[in-house]
Amino acid sequence: MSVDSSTERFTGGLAARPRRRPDRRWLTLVPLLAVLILLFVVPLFSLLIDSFRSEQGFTLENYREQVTSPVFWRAIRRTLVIAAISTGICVVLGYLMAYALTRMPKRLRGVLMVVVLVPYFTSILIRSYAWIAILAPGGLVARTLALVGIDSPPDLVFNQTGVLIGTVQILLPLALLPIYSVMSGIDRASVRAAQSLGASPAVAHWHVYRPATSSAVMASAALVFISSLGFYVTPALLGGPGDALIAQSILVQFSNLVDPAGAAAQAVLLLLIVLMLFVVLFRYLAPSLSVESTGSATPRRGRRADTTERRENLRALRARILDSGLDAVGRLRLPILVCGWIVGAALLATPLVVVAIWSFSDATYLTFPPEEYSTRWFADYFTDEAWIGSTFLSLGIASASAVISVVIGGFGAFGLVRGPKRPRLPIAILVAMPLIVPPMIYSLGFFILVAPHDVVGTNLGLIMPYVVLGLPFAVSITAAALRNLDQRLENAARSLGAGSLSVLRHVLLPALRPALISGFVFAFLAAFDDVVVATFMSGPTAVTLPLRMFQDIKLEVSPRTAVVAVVLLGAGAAAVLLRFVMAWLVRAVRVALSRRGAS
Amino acid sequence: MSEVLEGVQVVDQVATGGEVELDGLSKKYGTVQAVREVSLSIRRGEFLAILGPSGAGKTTLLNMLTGFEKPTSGAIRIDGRDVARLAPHKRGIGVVFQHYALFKHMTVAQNVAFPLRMRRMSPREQRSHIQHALELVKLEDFATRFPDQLSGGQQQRVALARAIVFRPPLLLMDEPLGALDKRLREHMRVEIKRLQRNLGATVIYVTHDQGEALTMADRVAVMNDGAVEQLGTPDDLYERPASAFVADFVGETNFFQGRTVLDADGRVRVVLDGDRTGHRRDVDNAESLKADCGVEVGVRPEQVSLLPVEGTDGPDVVGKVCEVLYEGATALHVVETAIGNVNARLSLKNLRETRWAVGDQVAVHWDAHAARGYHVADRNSSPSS
Repeated sequence: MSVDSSTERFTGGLAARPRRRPDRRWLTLVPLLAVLILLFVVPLFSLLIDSFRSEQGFTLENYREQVTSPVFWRAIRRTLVIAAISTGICVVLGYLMAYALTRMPKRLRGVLMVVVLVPYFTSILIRSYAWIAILAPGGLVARTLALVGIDSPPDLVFNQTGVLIGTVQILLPLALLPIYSVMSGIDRASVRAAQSLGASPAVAHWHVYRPATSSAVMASAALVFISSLGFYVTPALLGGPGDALIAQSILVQFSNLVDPAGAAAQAVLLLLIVLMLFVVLFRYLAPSLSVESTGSATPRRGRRADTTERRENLRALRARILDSGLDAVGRLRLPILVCGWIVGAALLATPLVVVAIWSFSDATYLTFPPEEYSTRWFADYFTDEAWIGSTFLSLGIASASAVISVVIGGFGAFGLVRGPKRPRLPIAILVAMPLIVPPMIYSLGFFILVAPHDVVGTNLGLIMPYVVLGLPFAVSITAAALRNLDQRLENAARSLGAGSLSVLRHVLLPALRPALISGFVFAFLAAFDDVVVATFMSGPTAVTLPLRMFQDIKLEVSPRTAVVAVVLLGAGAAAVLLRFVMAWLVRAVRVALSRRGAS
Repeated sequence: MSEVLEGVQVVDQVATGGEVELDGLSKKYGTVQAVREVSLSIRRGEFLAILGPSGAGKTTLLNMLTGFEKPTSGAIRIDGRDVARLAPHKRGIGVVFQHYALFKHMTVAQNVAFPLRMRRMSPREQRSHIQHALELVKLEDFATRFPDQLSGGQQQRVALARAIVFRPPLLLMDEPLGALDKRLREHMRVEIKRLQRNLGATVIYVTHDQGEALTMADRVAVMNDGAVEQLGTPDDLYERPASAFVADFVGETNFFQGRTVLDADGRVRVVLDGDRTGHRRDVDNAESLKADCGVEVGVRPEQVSLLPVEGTDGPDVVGKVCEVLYEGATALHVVETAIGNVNARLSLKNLRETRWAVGDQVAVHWDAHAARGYHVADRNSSPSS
């Protein structure tokens, strides 16, 4: 027996089993799809069903009520206007900043990337809250203006201006990063070619460089616009009482007016808008959602030749005017780029700096810069059981859900990349959906689904939706890494006799480790930043840290949240630093060892 | 018929190659002298190749010509006008870039139209120019295609059409054939040469490929370490290299170490190190050599012949064949001798008489006019290949 099995192993078992085993790699997709369908699709369907529900059974009354309500339409219009304006500002500013990044010396670029990335990884709640300290009466702007004798500063916050500023700050990195990644891959030779053919630098940029970025610009515009449609925390903190956006309106309908069916109807209507936009903008979004390239993302090609002579001359004239304008702008290109960065960096960095300083304020109310400094708010935080309890609860829940997301998402990514080709696109779209569907809609649906059962206010009730919110990150990051991983590596391991588990352990896991780690970080942050899901699922017993901060800010604007922000930022910085220190130590030890070996 | 006539007419119109003069052109980056005092005058309609290994300063020189680098000193005169300090888009030089740098989002016609648009030409006028430029490169049927729908050779021709359509006084080409496969490269050499001759264009052609430089150029400037090492016609360069560097970089050369001696007849001759015959050998450029100096003697492999040892006395060095590499039209024989290994490239015609095998004893022979001496100090650096 043992002899038999050893010979079989020696011949690779091929002689014994000549038939190819069927490809079962699709099995790794099962947990991913199960989770997404049960915890994401089903809740949305229960939302849809609820929106048609009344005491008498099926009804369209809920929709009729919303559609005829001017309050609802005003919220929709406000949402769309804020989304459009902030998208415009983010994309223009993001484009200028990204371009400047590609053209500056490496060292400066490294520093400025930090200015972009640190806010990107900081909680939306904290960033929105910081704007209160900057814009509100008694805040940084008002105090600065008072110094120069302007005693009645414009109202910058608790109105739509505040919402707009906060939204732009939060979405700017999201707009900038995809544009930057495309720009840094553009070969400048074609710009040089255009210049050698007689185009001034600005004209060359417009005709040659800009078109190469246009699909990335559209992609980031689409991403920013769709994201801002679902914003809740920022408008809730920075908007006024009459400025509710649609996500707030849904929550008001649900909790204040106790009209779940009406809230469901509003949510379904918002979902329709979002899905319609997703379909329309799909060809731009496809690459950035890490859906397999569909080949349609290339910009539409040159318009059909217009043959009439007059029109052609007219077009040439228009182009001439454009080019003269560009020449004029081109002379100012350096000041424009510098101004773009000053505005952008101020937007991105000021909130973090303000929060850091504010946490040391002695006051119980908002004055910034603080008049007196103390660490009383730190002491307050560290001795308050409720706050410490919430902190650990959030850390635990976010870690647990991120681990589950990474495991399920990791296997799912393998199935997605290495499994059957045909279902790839639909699955990739499904995986991206939790990012596209506003959290308010999803949370409401999930709450409606699970409310009858005893999960509200439990850890499980929070972890389940957080796993869903983490999956898009876990899957897309791992899938991208897998796509770059040469499949021949796996085949080689197999040809050398490794079974599936050995391939996983010795080939895939080591190669994918960085991707899995960054997937974990993103999934963790998605859960750790969340206010909306917690609003529904925390109940009185499981109040997460962001929810506690949110409620605290709504009650009174004090430096307490700033303290939490500094603690969290400090912990994050310490973690990053620790990694570098560890890497440095490992290298130092290795060098020392090799020296000893050499001598 | 009329179209043909029009074509001819355009050729005439385009035939406006300018006179170009580089005068003491230098570029310094900090303490590094990338280009030193390059002076060249290029005649109207001349095809000048700039040949050199990577790091020789070709790219910097080219960037100064196109205007993407400002020279530290010196002038670039095109038809008498100094353009060295003009912005790139004001120079009006046609440039064919290394990887074509076509505009991917524009059709072939739009690519070719670009310089005309920049020159505010009316659409009607543009059309005829584009048409003629595309005819010149034989791409008139591809006007509405996009660059990524074309083969490498076709893309190359679009880049060419785009660079000539506005009739620049000077056409710069930066390794234009580098990205093509060997066969296409050889075909395009002929095409580019034909086009240049038809247009009468003044061309500066930058390359590291000696084959391209020798076959296409009227004159070649060999660059090394930022300076022009030799400027001459292709046959000058190959048959009368001015330095060991040129001899080594352009074609293959056997180098033998030796010393010069002044003979009784007043002529400088060379004694090779390790040469047991002690023979004083003539070299072709004896009059330019100083006596009693270390020299390298360069002999091209195809100038070396192998003779039977019997009956040789006199100057021929005797050695043993240690390798024979069959190359088709020729066979390269490596012979181990006391003066070093000697490469001899023998043609099939020679081989018909005697075939040498590994291990054979042979006498290595070359004619005096095939050998050139280079003072050892002359050699700056040798290319690695």
